[in-house]
Amino acid sequence: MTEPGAYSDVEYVFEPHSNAMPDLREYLDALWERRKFMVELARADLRSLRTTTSLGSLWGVLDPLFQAGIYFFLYIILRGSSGKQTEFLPVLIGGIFLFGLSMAALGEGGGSIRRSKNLMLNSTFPRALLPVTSVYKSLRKFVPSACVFAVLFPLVGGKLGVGLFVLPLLFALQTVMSVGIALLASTFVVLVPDANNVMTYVSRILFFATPVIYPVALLPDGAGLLVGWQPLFPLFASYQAIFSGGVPNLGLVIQTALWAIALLAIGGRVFLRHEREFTIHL
Amino acid sequence: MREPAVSEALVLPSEHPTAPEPSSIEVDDVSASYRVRIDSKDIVADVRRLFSRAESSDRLIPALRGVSFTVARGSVLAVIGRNGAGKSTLCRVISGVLPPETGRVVVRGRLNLLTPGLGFSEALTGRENITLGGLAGGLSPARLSELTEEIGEFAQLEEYLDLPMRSYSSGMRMRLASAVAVFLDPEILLIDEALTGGDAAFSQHIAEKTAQLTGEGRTIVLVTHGLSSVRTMATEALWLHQGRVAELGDPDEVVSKYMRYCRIESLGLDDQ
Repeated sequence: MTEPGAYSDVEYVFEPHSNAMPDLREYLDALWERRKFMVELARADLRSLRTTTSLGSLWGVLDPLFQAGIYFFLYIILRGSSGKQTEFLPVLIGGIFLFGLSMAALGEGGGSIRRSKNLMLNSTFPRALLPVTSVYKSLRKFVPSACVFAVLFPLVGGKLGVGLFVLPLLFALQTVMSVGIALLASTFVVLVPDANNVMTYVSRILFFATPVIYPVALLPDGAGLLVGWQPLFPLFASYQAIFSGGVPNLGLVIQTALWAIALLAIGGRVFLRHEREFTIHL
Repeated sequence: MREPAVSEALVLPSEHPTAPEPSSIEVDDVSASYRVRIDSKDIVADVRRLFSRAESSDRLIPALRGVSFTVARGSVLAVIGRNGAGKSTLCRVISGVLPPETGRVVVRGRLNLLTPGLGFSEALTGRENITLGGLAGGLSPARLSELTEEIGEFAQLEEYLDLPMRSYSSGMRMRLASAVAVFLDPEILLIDEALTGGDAAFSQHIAEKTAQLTGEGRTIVLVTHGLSSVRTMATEALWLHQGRVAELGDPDEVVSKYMRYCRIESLGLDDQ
């Protein structure tokens, strides 16, 4: 606390926006200093979710379960029922739970700046805090889903092998990727008014271009070229290998890591170059 | 109605002009605008703008034009003017929320912005919102736990602290926001029309706290429509008109000119 009459050495200089990158180290320090604020903000949003519906956070678990049920039903109908098809059920459930995390980065992360207009117009803080908070919030929402999945997985016939040891690495890479996606999407949503419509199609395309509701092995020759170009493909192909009791291909894991780094670097750069002009657009 | 004379690039007289102490706020030839999108059909240009410095075709609405002034340490500057004059924009530019289009702002000291639109959460209780607001303002969790009861008491909301914010009236929300802001230990406090949000008793309460902060040498910028507050609290007054400095100087003189301009005297609408 400052003594009466005494002033700290803090000096701020505000000049016209120039698209220049801020000092990255100072920026990250400022973000780290606000980590408690981030936790409280995420908690406030989660509390709001619980108080606006009767089932509250239970929806976070029910939603992927319902989705898995629907897609499994469609899968059985399209492929014909046989004992072999049910082997895919644990892979499908795991994929849908985890895919929800990446879609939250795109949807909630993308809308994080626009949704916080009041906070943006009335407080100063590193703006990246908002998309990062949305990713942190989706991770917290994911915890009960992960617990349910851990119990459900063996019950629906899931088997795990040594590939399980790669799971934490893949999850960490998915989190890094989610931060990159959230930074990029939130900038896009603030600066481009039609972005929300585009996001709907992007998430739909990603859903069908990612091996979540179908096994990678089912892709016909050449189809890999069509869907393998996007960042979520190697990640979810690796998840499938783990949930099928195998070990993910090293090439796929390296591709996932490269995508995660690239998305964080591109998302961070685009966001930091534009964040000072966000308030002009809100 | 006669337009007020517009004077630009004025510098407030400091109470101690020879003192070497630096000023708290320097606003130098600042202009600021809001970008408004009107029926944009060129999404290709919007996407291209993400990756380049190319300008978009958005319409710029000027909010401040060539505003210059200096605020001495320990003084209270009242900013008055009609709705849309640029008062809130000025607060946002000084606090760094909105980048100036031209010019430069220098702020020396830790600054807090108190505004009716402070981002409090409806779902959280008053107590939790104090935590959220305090952390947003940079208070440590340990300091916050010491201050929470005191803030609740200052806001006169002790009995309501554990109720969700959605059950609060707008006046109660404003009292909580004001209380958090004044307890953030600001060296410079920007108050944007906050005094008009509470009842008379609370306005008096916060005026006393503001006087205490000023007594401790803090600098205050007060944006208000309450002209009596300007006369009793301010050491200097700034009248903004259509984004420009119309008058700057002694509060009584500036308020008198402003009232004459608005013809408030003849209509008997003064807030006294």
